[in-house]
Amino acid sequence: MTQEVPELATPFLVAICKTLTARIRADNRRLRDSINVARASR
Amino acid sequence: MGEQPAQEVGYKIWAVDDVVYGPVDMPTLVEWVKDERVLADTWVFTCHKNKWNQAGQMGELRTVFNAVLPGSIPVSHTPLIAGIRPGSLRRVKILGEMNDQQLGRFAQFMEVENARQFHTIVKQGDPGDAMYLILEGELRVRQMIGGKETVLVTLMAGEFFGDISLFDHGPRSADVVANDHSVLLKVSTANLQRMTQEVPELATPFLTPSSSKSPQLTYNV
Repeated sequence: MTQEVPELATPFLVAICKTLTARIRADNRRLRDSINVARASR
Repeated sequence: MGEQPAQEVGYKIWAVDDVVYGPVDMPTLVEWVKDERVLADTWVFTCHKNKWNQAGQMGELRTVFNAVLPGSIPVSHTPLIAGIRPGSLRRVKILGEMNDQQLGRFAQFMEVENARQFHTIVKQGDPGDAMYLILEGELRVRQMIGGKETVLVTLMAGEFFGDISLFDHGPRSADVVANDHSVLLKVSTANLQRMTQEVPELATPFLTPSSSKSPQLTYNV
């Protein structure tokens, strides 16, 4: 699809990127919270 | 009697991004050959002869090519982009699947940014509207937690950051500070949107490796 109909593949890929973005944001929040907890427990 | 139109002088260069640059004078053309922005197989239009020739076939450039690479003539394409060293784009991993022509056209949607040492390129909490590709230099990604600096990762040439904000326009999750003088390519949200609409065949190779990379938290500022 990316080779034959890029005009179709591109919005699909952008949508996937946005979904991944949301997941990574959530992971980042968890990472930050875990660092805070680890520091607080020292 | 009407005035004769002024005859154009100099040289025009048909670059791999399908854009004709110029006219430029001979010293500039020689500089571009030395910088490998013009290669032996680059088409050059000689205005006063009204003729296209490949640069390697032009007698006036023969000695320059021989001086650049004695005994051989380079044949690979290099994008003609002001301010970017030839081959620099090749260092960026996510551009690795693009061919030379795509790279040249892709570069038209980017801006070059120079960051001096200790300059903060993105600041935690600021709204993000661009990602950055590192062409030269070294940067650190840091978070200030409890007043202390936590360095999450050090980024080198060929790596990139800020890609998350490119898609959700959300706040930056960390600071990115230049450890050394660095040269960056900025891809803004507006330019990415323009690229996906105007040249989707160009946006696709850019999006594909990005979407398949493993989520490394520290890169995604």
